[in-house]
Amino acid sequence: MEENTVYSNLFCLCDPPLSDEGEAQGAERLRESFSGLLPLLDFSSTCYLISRQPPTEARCFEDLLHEVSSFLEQNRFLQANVRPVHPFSGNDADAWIETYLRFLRACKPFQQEGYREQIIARLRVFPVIFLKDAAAVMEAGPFLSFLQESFFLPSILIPSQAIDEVASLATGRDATPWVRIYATDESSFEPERAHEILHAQEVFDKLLEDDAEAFPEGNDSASLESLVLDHNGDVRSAKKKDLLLSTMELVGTSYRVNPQGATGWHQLCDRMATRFVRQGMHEPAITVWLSSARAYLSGVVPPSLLLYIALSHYEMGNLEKAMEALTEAREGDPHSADIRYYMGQCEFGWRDYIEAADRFQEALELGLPNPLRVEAHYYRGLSHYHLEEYDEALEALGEAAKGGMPGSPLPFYQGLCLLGKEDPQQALSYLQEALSRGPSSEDHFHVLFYIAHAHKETEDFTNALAYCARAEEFQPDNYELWNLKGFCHFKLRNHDEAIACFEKAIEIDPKSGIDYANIGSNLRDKGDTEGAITMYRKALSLDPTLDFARDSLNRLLSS
Amino acid sequence: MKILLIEFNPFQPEHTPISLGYLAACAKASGFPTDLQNVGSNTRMSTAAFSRILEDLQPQLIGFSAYQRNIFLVNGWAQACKRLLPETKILIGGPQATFMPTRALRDLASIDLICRAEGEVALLGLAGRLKEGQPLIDVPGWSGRGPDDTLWDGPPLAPSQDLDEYPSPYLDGTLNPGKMDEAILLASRGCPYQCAFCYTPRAFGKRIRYHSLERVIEELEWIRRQGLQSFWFADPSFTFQADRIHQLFDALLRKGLDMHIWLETRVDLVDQELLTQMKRVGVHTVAYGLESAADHVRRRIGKPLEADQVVRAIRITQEAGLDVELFSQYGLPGESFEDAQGTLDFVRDNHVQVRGNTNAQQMQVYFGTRIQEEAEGFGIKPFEEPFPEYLSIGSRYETEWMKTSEIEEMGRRWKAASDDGGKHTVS
Repeated sequence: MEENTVYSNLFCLCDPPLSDEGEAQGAERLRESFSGLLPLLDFSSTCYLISRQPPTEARCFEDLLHEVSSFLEQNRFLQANVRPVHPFSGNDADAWIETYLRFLRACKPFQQEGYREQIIARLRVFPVIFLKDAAAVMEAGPFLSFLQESFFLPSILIPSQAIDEVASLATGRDATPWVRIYATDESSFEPERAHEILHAQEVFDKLLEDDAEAFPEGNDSASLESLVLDHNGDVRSAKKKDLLLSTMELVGTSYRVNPQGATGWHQLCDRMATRFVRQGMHEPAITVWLSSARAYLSGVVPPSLLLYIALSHYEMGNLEKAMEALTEAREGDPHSADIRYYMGQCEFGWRDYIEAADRFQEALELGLPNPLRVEAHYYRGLSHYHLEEYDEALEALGEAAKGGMPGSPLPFYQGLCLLGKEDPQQALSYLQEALSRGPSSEDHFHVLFYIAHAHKETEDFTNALAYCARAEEFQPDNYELWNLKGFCHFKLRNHDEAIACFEKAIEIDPKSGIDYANIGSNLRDKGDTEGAITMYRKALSLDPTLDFARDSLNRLLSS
Repeated sequence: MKILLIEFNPFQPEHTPISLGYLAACAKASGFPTDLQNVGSNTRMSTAAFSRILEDLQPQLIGFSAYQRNIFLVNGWAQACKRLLPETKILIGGPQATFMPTRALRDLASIDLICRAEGEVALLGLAGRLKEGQPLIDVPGWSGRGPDDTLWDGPPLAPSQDLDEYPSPYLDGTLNPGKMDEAILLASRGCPYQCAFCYTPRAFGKRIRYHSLERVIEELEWIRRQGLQSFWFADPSFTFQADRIHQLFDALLRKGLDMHIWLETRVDLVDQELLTQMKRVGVHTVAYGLESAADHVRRRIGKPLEADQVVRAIRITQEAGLDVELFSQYGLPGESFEDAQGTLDFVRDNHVQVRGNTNAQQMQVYFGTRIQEEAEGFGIKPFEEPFPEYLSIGSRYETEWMKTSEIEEMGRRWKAASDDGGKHTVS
């Protein structure tokens, strides 16, 4: 419990442990603790009073209701709902009615006040009655009707296996004597579980109302702040990390038979999963969406839902699962451009570039809208690039450019395609454009490296070395970079610098035969024939396919 | 001399407290440190938290916005304030307060003062007196309780004729667009029409005062720069001066601000050209006051628009690609149950979705309206039970033409027809 926190709900577990000390003492301690918590509650709050005691022993309900009433009397801007939660047996009907008549007297001043002031009564009682099966619901009918007529609109808490039978009791009636059904997974009344379920319901209901506070960003649990007070006066916060996920099937079951209906449940799942996704929590998002999918009793799951599931799998790197969901989604909606696009993304992730290029093309032909349209052009271009189909790649990347795709990767890959087409001069202008767009620190090296590479291809070795120096700041131990530097120095006849670069390359990749051969060529040009022969031999021992090393070696040996 | 202003509306999620924002901006500009507390249905606020706020701030003045629906609860807040800070003066302002009878203070024991004038000027006068230690009696623009518990009414206080004299609560940082979903703005205040159910004509002298276009544009640009895109103009007749609005929209188009705008006007104050321009500038919804689909009812309540004007305005608005909202009410003077049903039918026949502001409500009879003052003449029959002086008739009436049961039935029909569950609530 935090003094500075405002709590929306207070769950009071009223029953003493079976072996507890003097009952009167415990009840007084509970009342005092309860009273002390009221100032921490929100100006509009709900107090759940949970007890399995028979009505003759349910004195705590009245005591605590009186505490709430007094507190509201002192603070006339507050509103509170009190929710007695208890089991009911037909044998106790009269005693319960007596108890509720006393509640009615406690509430009456607030009802009169509400009428006079044209506001909703500030104190209202909404019982939750546990009934173990449909027969118990039938037996409780007159009691529930009494509650309803007394403005104590009751809800019922019943085992989930009985829910359809209970719901069917409402068939053909204009109204039922209950306003809402809650489902529990316990066959008998368990106060702690009742608290968990009702707390979760509060969170889910708020979420359905789109109350951002119910489930704020950056929080992975039921965070509608609630307090739990037990009979010993011990207080704890009701946050439980896995509360929502562990109760959501029950909530889904009860929504189905309540006014929210399956539509409300799907809407709620969508909101909850979306919030998980925003926090990057894809696993729980999938759990929620799968729960939503199971609620389609016909078994026909909307393709849009399957697409969401696929996207979360994709984000988690599970491309197989993503593709599985996408394939099912495509069966439901064969003309969905979005589904094709994400199938393309999976195939791209698998480096199956032939399939990916086709899939992105299909998505485009199906009318994929922006911003994905531009992305589809881009990834189609990349797929062709990886297939070394540079003309097709340039055409697709050009479409992405026309669509206004920002960032440095697009001109970077256009540059690479032109390098692939052996047009380094034009490649340079794209690569420079990529550089001017401020590449990410991850991409910066590659942009500088390929500018250097393009300069090398135009035989402008001085500029190539200048860009290599800039690239070195980002990745000082990149093998390709040192190899390129060595090559440029060699072409400029800076043999000592070239040898140092190739030595650095060998340090990074000791099995690189070509760099030994390159050192050999530099030593040869410096006139160190013996050293060159040694290096060529070393190179060929590592890579016998180096024909230029073999030729050079043979020439040196024969001369 | 510290001031705390509190907007308490537990019936709706927090929205921009634009009126209190103006007051706070004015008070701060005159050297009075002012805090603003906005409490909506989604605000978490406990008695302990509220006590901490008061203990930290120690304000000498606490002001509340008062409405028919929250006045009782505001009085409860005032009691809590007085318990902690007995010397602090508690005041109420806003639509419920302006024309509330002074004797209502007898039922509002913890409230010291009622604002009768435009809050910006009235608050400064009051704060000035308090700062200088002068007695708070007969302060212009206020009613209050004297030292011997007698009640007094100060002389009237004229508002500023130039709205730009009031500092912008956005530009001075009082209201933070970064924490909003939608910014509420006022480009003008007042209304020249004389609808009998509305308190605005009397409150604002049946005329409109304007902010300069430069000021409106400056606010829009600044808010837009903070990343907020949605704007809600609270002007009752936004397009009353069509030329001015054309100039405003031209300027906004030139600046290329990407905005989503909601605005309200009258059906006889739009044409195709204006609506087309609205669409271009980013207006998504235009709300019109329909009130009733029956011509004879509209005439009786002082809104003599013809049905074909309404139909035409709806059509050309929809053709311009804009959503239409229609404010309507039932339980109006001269309105039979069939007339009331006709309004619901009219809304649907004209393809206006029943949601948001289009959810109709029973007419609320407020202080300052002609219907409150001449209830009998309008055929309004208030219930006989006594109710506190601080409450106007509100919804506790039936009419010569509709019984309570029929009014309630219309409420049910509108709710059943609603696309969003009829969540709209009155204040």
